[in-house]
Amino acid sequence: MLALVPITLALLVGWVWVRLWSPAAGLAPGWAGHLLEAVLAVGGGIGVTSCLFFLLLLVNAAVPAVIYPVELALLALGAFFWRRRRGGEPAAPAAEAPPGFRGNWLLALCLGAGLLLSAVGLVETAQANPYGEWDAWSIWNVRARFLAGPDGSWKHAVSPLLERTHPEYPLLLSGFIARAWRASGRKAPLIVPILTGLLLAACVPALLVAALALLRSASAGLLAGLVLLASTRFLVQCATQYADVPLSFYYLAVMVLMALASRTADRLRPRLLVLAGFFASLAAWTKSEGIAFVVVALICGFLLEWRAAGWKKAIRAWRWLVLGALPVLLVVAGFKWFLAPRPDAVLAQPWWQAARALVAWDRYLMIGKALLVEAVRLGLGLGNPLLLLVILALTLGIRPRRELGGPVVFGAVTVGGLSAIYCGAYLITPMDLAWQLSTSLGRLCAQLWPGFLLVVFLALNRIEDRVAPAASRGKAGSARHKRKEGGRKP
Amino acid sequence: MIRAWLGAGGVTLLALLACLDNYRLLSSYNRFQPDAYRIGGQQERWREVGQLLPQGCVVGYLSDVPFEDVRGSAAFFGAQYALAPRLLVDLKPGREVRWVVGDFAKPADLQKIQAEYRLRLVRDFGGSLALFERETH
Repeated sequence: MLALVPITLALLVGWVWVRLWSPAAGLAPGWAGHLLEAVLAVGGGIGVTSCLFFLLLLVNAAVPAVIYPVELALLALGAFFWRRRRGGEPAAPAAEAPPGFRGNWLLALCLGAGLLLSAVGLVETAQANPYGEWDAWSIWNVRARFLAGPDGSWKHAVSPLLERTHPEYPLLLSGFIARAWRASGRKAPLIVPILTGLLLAACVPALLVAALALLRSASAGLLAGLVLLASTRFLVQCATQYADVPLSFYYLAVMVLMALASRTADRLRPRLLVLAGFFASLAAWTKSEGIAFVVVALICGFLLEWRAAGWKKAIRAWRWLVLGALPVLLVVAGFKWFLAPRPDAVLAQPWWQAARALVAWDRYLMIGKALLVEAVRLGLGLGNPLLLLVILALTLGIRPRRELGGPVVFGAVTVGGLSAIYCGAYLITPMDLAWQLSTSLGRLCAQLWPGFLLVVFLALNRIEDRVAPAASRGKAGSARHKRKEGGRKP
Repeated sequence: MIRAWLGAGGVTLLALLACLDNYRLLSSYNRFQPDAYRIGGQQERWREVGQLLPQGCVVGYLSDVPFEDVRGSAAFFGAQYALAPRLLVDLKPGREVRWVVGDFAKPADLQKIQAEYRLRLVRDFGGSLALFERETH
């Protein structure tokens, strides 16, 4: 139980600071706004405290007597600013939800049943495999053990002697687990990595449901949640204690925040962009792929803003994004350059070797085949989520609304760009391609899958557009739904 | 309108059935492969060795199963996990480490190993584990 104290503290820190930023202020429905802020608080709190722990390690001060006061000070500071802001700033007008789909209660019931089944399955898996899968005990949790060790043994986590694993991998997950172990003063209780993995895994469907309920409709969110839970490959990854599902959460958070920012009037927009930048930087602190994501997201964000509003506004928006990303990106850069400078095997090979791999056409065929197999394995039989998406596209139709065009393009280009980078890495990898594909393609797909679902559901028509709404309260509600100046764009 | 109802209803039903199938899949996996690489067992197996090794030291690792073999890599990473925060390294020529652990799948000739690597046997734990110290120390 003692190990739960530092985890709870991290969540509280995240909650206060996310509330201060109020990413869902004035949005309806209220439950979705609260849910969105709660899950961002979980991811943000885990990221911030992991980063702080790493900085404390560097100055040899990562002991409970320092960890707790520093984090409590951060909590108090956040609470102070939050209270001050609440006093000095008029609350954003609470919009009333537009009329919903009549069958939402049934969708919610089914989603609840799906969540229960998935949760029971994952908890049973954690009981049967408390140490997680291969990479959990050979990379992520073993590095957490180094970081939580006495004296200078944390340096083993980034030691060049760590030849058989990855000292160059960023430390969000291992750092957070080690922080909880050190702060609780207990010797590596297994509950910490299990709970961390399950918490972040639970945040992914919650974020998807909440975001789509805010951006489209409750029915879209509930259906997206069901499709995500039907994704066998994604669900299996949730029980592994790997960093891929946490990474998928940070990717999704950035896409959601960018979508919210694109619909927001000028006064609230910088907050959302800063928060999006911050979550992008946490992706970089989670896995090396996250660094590629930051680059793709920053470029896409700038280009789309340029296209929509001109280069002056694009630079202004980009400045906020970079501002949010900068603190953690500096930590990642310092980590990569000074502590774990081992280059990635793909980037370290001679250029001619990579060029030769690029014209080996059988490699393209191999990757294509593996992608097809992965698409089939995404779900079981008729429950394959791709099939479910096709059914929804055929019955509801796809036509992104004008105001959602930006987020759809941003999400699609980001997911597409990252997929291209991943495929490029497979093409030129100096490792055995068949082995590499069989051990990592499922994980990479799991990273991108929630973001892909967000894009598809943003582009799909809502059920409400096709059938009669649930109640007539919507007349008054939709009038109030139009935001006042300073709130969200109508 | 009917098409939308059918689409949403069909997807909900199929997704719910998929959740049930996923649960069955996880359950059968958990039943047949609990802790497939015996990491829990490794913790117990290496406990006594860990008690003799200083915290945070670098330890050489010797095995008769090559690392390229999945049993060899599972044994190495299992030992590394159990002994962390001590760092296990492959015992290469020229690599100076004070402590060396032996992890053998078959009964090993410890005398021969001591002579070959210039090691002194600290303790033979039976059950295929041994702890050595460099002779120079």
